[in-house]
Amino acid sequence: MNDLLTIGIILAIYLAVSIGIGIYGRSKEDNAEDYFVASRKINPWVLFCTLAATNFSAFFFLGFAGASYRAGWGFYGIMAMGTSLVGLSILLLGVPIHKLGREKGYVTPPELIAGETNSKHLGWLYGIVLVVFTLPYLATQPMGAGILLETLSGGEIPYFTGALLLTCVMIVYLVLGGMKSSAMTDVFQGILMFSILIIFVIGFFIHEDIGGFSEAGQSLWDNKPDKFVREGNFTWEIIFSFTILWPITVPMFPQLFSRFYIAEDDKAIRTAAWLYPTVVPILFLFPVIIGVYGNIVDFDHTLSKTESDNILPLVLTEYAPLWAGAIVCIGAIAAFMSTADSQILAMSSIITKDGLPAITEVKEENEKQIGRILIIILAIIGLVLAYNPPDTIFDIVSQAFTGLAVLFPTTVAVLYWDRVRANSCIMSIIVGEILVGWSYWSAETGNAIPEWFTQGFHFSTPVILVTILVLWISTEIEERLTDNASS
Amino acid sequence: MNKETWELLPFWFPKSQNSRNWAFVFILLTILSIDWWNWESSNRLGNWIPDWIIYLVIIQFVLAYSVWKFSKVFNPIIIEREFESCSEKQLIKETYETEEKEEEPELKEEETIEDTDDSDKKNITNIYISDSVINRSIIGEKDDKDE
Repeated sequence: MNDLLTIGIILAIYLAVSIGIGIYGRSKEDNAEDYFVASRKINPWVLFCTLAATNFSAFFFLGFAGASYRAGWGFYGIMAMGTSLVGLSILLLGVPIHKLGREKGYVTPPELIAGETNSKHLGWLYGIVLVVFTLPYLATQPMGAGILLETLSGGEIPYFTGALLLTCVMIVYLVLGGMKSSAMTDVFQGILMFSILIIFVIGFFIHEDIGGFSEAGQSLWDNKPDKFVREGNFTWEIIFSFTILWPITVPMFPQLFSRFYIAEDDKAIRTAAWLYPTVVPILFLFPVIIGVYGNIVDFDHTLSKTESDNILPLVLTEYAPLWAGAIVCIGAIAAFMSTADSQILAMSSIITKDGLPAITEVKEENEKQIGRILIIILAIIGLVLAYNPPDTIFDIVSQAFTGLAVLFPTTVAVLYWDRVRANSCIMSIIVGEILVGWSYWSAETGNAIPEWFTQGFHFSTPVILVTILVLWISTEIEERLTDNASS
Repeated sequence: MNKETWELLPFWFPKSQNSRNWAFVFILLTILSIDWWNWESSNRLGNWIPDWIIYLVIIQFVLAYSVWKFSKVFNPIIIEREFESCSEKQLIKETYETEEKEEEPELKEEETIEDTDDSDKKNITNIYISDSVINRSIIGEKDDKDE
């Protein structure tokens, strides 16, 4: 059978099943709350699957493998502990967010922030930051799909055609179904991607050319022993920085934050919170193994930084028959789609519920329709950004993540600190984003961030510290000024 | 620690002794995950996976167990602020729903107290329910219904 036809048939089956599940699980009620937060009736297991599938994206499948190819096992240290700590964040933030959402009818993150601080301006700023920093992350999803299909088909499916095809399918089930469809397809896509990934890694090691775990390990040790050690690849300061960055930034993703609203009760969030660190330690080993042992494919030729994001499809084309490679790619595509659909839906709800009402009157009965139109627009923006990607997937997401992490101190303060002031939150976010802008500028101009600011840590660590301090100190100052004025 | 003292603490500081104990557990696990004493290790298990990866996996399972235990006792205080935090439409909707369900306001308060077993808890009073109670009191609807 023709190679392209094989890939096409497997891909078509997967996409048809995704659309089918999306249609089956679609919103039956004609209101915005059902469309955007699935009437707040999602059970613990579906909630856990949708949280995991939403968070594990193109970055998980391709970015992890690419970075592990370059930096070895040390990359597991960068990702795993921090992602396990996300379980704690889900508990600490998810439970109060869920309770407030149910009690006060919040549907989007900015609604909660604005509502709890009585400040529309803070809500708008919060929403703008969410959308601005989620867009580059969104672009990595079609990027991943395009890379994967192009490499697997030997260039017969061009990069942009693959990205376009998957974006179109995603639009179909999102427009039809909303949050319920997104959650249902996440369950299917999550189970599919993890089971395929595990089977592939085991299949790779028992391949006759690899000869088993021990032989592959010895071969890699003989040729590239640096892949086994952290020294020389990462300092402990950098690993520590990412360990605290992930639990801070992940709940700030609008697609994750919105999922705290959809739980049927807070028990669902408590269950998801402990399940998360239970599966992450094992699950994260697999893409790292693919990347690290991808070095075995050709010891004489080292892939460039951007090329290394292709290591998964390259290993596939080298060691797996085409049909098996296509099935693994379906697992990876499931990871992209489950993240991208949630990102688009979350941003659509933010713009519909928070952005547009600031400009014009939006009638409640029109919100669902507007949300659908925005889904199409946002998907097109994601595609446009993915058309000519400037960096590796890891570089893009780590910058976007720092921009979102700036919102964490404000969110914690709003949920837990009864002295919080909207102006202090605004100040904290603005200072944080100015620092993030400084990092972008430094990367663009080639001027390194000075050592006195980072002290050897990743840039995100001092930025988070500064935003916490600004929020705290400015609240104290504002309180004193108010007290003085009133006395 | 009295109420005035902890109100002055920064927002990230755990308020109750129980929360501080749990914070200590999670900070300790985070610090232990950075095994700088073993940073240059190249020891491998079964020739293919570094020892420090196994150590990190074990730390994460301990973390998962801790989160599971913590999830059973965690009961956050939902801060009720004094300003109107929802749109007027929401207020009308909530008031309407409250009246429709014929909830007893005193009972609602009691339930809220039971929900928070933390020693530093604050009494949570839903401002919209309170408004509806005031309205009912003014027009005498509550008493009529009680009777």
